[in-house]
Amino acid sequence: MKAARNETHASRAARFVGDEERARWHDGALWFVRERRDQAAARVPEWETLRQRAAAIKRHVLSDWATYLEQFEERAQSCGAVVHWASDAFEHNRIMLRLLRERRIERVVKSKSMLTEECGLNPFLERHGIAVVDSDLGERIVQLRNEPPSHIVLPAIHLRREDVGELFSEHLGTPPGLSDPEALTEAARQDLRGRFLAAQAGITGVNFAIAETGGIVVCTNEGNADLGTSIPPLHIASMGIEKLIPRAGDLGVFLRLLARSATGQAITAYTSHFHGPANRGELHIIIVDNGRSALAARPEQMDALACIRCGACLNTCPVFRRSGGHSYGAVIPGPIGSVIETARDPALHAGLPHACTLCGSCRDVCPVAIDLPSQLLAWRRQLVATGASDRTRDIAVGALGRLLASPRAYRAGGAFLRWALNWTPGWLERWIGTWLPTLRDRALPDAPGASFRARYARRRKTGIEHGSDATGGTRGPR
Amino acid sequence: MGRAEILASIARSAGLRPAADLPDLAGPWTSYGGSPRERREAFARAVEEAGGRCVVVASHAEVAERMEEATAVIPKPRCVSAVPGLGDSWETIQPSIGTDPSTLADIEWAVLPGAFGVAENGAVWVRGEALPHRALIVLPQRIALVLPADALVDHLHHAYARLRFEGRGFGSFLCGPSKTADIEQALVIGAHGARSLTVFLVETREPDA
Repeated sequence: MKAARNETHASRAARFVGDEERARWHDGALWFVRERRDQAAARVPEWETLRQRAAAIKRHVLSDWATYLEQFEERAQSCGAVVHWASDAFEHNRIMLRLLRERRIERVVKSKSMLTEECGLNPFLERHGIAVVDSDLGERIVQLRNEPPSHIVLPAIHLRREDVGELFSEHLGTPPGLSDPEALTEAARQDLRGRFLAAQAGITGVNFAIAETGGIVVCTNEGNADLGTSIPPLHIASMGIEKLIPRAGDLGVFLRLLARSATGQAITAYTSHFHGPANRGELHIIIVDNGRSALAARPEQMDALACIRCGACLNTCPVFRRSGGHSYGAVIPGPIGSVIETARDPALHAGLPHACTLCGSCRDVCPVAIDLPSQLLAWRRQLVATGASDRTRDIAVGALGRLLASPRAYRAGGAFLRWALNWTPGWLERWIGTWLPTLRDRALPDAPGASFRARYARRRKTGIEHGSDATGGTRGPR
Repeated sequence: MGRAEILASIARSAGLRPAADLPDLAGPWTSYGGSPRERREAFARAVEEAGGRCVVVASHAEVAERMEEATAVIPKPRCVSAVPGLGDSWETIQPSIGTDPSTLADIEWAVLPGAFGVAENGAVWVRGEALPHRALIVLPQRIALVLPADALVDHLHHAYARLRFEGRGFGSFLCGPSKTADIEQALVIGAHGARSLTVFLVETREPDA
């Protein structure tokens, strides 16, 4: 379900919140995950130290990036892995296809990898006659629904159990009306077990790539990455160039942060470390750029490369919670998506940096301390400068800027507003509410008796606060 | 091609990313009591929180007894062990390069050796070399891990201080049974991997078999 190019986050979000009940439910579901993160973080006294440490490690890697990439390649090769490099999504997909075709592979299982989503791998392989089954339960659900994941960690969080029940009844033959999560999960377990056993290759992402040892680490709760890589003889791992960490010991920092930030667990059920292939098996690692080195050339957004894809910023963001991942029209939604996807296609995603209230919550929960609000604000400035911004908004903000910059205009504007607030009849208020979202669900406030400036001046003169003022209003602030 | 292009792209903007120190591995990491007993209690709590069970036993023989009880159903399911000394009713799978993992698909119970456990999160490190086949960490329906009761570390930093990754190999931290919350955030134990995970902490050290 590709979003139309003329749609924006705002227009899609308007539809999402139109279903008030579902929007409220989605909001609650994500906030629940945010709270679990809080509980887990609170149990680690050195949490802030870990965050700063993680940020410092990532910053160090980026400051000597080529060295670490080359070291990783050399060590991985000495473990028996084959290392490929792909500049972009197309190259990545072609390498995948070649590896599979060379071995006449037609059936592949895949565990969660946002990078492969980014590259559009599934549709590409399908077009070339290779069946890819997403094995993570949430990914499997959205795959059967033929839609993209709405969250980077919880792909099906936008769905109710009844939706999944209906879906499984159609595709897995479960009884219609069955919506119990345990029963549905059991059905998926049985179905996917057969697919794991029949798969000829397993594709995974990479949570962390260890430069000093040449190993890759894959974390899951379901065990699907391990099933997908221990049964078939071929394991292909796709990794972004920013997934490097220098030493195995750095995993102590990152693993302590990852699961707690993502779901509130101390650690995932499986944290598998692959150094080279299994006996009689093959391990191919595809190192992918696809815009990451370009992001590293943006001083105001390069810190976003520290992202460990935990999803905490999505869970906490009030805009994400109340608009859903599909409103962003990008592979990676939410605060982090709004930074990195805009880099990928500024024209298409110019609205995303505005899908933000600058509340700062994302910055507070980010395990690698990425200052997302500053990055989004920088984007706004950069987009206006390149003319990629929304014209209407630019005009309105420009006018507001001129008003605020002129003390006389500001005072006149304030006086007019205080008069208008008292004068505006109900029918006019309602009409304005039909095109001004701020007034849709709110009534206009009462006008203050006098401007702060006037009250302050009076107070200085007489030492007394006055409730009434010269413009005729009799109501004043309490 | 891809490699040269990527490295060139990185090099072009390298000046924007000034040298930043690599932080030390040491840190103000919380210990879990410091005494083996407190560590064991923290570990057991963490295993339970992850949906697993933690049982302290006196010896391997006791592990065998408990496992007999757990598997006393008729017909007896297929139970394998990669831990020596569990008794004759336990099938031992020899490590073999040629093991076809699909022959392991009907295993109900697998008892596997754990190298050590981590008190902060209830995870157990399982070494690939100790397993007849690495699919044994995910294919069996139920898994028991056996490790010495004194083989516990406080936290992951100590875990990685202990681990050596030299050359080819596989290892995994297992924590609790497999699980998912992908359907409406409802936690379901037993996703694709094990439906249950029991950790046995054995108090007396067995001589190496």
